[in-house]
Amino acid sequence: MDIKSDTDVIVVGAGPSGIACAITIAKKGNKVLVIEKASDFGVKNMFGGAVYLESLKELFPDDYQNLPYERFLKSHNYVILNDENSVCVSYNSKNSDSATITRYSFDTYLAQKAMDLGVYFIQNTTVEDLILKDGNVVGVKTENEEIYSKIVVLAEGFNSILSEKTGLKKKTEPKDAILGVKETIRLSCELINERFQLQDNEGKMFQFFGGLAKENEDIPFALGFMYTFKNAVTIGVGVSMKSLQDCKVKPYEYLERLKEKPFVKNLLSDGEVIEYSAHSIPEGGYNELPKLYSNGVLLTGDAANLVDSVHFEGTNLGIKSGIIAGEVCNMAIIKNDYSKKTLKEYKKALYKTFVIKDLKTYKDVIQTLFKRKSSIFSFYPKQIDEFFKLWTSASNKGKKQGYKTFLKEFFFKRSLIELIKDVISFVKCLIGAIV
Amino acid sequence: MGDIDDKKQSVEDKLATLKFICDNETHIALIKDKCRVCKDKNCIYFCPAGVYALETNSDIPDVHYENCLECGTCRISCPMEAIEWKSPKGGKGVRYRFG
Repeated sequence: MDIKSDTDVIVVGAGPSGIACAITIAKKGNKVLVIEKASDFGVKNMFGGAVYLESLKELFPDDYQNLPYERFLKSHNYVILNDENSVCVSYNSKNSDSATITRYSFDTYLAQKAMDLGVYFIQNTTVEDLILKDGNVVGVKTENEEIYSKIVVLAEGFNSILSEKTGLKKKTEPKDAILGVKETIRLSCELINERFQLQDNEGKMFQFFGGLAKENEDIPFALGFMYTFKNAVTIGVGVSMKSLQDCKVKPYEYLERLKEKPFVKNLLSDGEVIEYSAHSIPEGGYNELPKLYSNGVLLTGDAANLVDSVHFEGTNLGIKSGIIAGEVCNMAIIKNDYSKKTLKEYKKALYKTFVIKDLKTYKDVIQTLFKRKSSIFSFYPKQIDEFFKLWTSASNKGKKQGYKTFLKEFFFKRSLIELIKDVISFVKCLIGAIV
Repeated sequence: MGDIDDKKQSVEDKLATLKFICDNETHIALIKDKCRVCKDKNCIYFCPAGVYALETNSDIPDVHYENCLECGTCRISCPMEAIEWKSPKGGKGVRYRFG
């Protein structure tokens, strides 16, 4: 090709995946330019609240401890919500593998690290299109200019307009996407420590099941979440876009209902809402992976649908895929070949890591559970509530009578066929995960 | 900004907590012929920022693009594929401080 490249690699998007990629390339002395549409780092990004430390260790082996972490998660809580009541299972651990962060501080820190390594950044600039020549991606067209490179890495996030334009990714269907809405609520550090029973740098996370639909409404496929930060708590709801279409309830209405639950309300009392936010999350997993590469182009992170929605794990996969994309770029630069023939190594390498392995493990889980959403988010939460009501109260009819009534009611409300469907779905998820 | 113990927050209250750098040009266009025949008008419900609002006696939603949170839900969820959404120009749009 007779096109002069302005840089070896252009990365579109300065999120964790794009920056991890750029850092990997710059570490080998190759030239890399990151183009970001926002005026500052992290200001267009939003997530629930926590990162796993695993991929960060790989990216910053010497100083991954020094990143701007808020609180290390030492307590994971799974809460079943009913109208007024709740059941909570807690896992409390001495050590921690994850920490809460805010995207503005975290992404800015990553970008600063990248700059120190010689990565160039252009901010305030939206990439409008890719430049193609003879079937190869050879650069990008921004709103201001054309910039040429040997490889373009699309780390543009889930709202992946460019990836779709190239034909690498098909248009996402509502069933394969989650909308997350969140509020950041300011509470003093002392109040958070007291209410959540934490030390200064210790954090808690919560996942909430059920309790979001009103009587007579369709049950949405939706989960609540809550994370503690130094001086704030985030609370949010992730709802399947398919459910948003079906249920015709506004996403922030679900969030308001979650905040009204006594379990949540008491913890957040006197807090001040300092920011509302919304972001979409890929949910299609292994079955909806796009083409990860083509001539002169690679897809990483959310743009490639690399989110493990069973474990709320996205940043980790984004960073890992960015690192691998960076390594493949370095290899292509040595070989001086930027065609599919070399770039297919990205897909090969990615399939050998936990990124694709984990997505494969859970490949049918979400769609299977979606079909049983009224079981998971309504029927069983209610049964569990009924059970604990029985377990924790005294009755002059005697315990045995109580259990008999409970079981009778259970089988009366749940037809055998529904029960079998629930069991089959559960077994299907389990077998998919372990076989 | 609102105290958590106040009555329920409206979407307007929520949007008031946010910082936007507003462009004077919209980044969202509707294919109006498709909107006219759309029965569901799902956009009224799924948008987390209430960008799409239907005035009485109108078939075509008003687009309050200045409130857009750039989540992309409308690109995915509009059953008519009637929403043409582009990224806002560089530096414009929503600007989260605690995302």
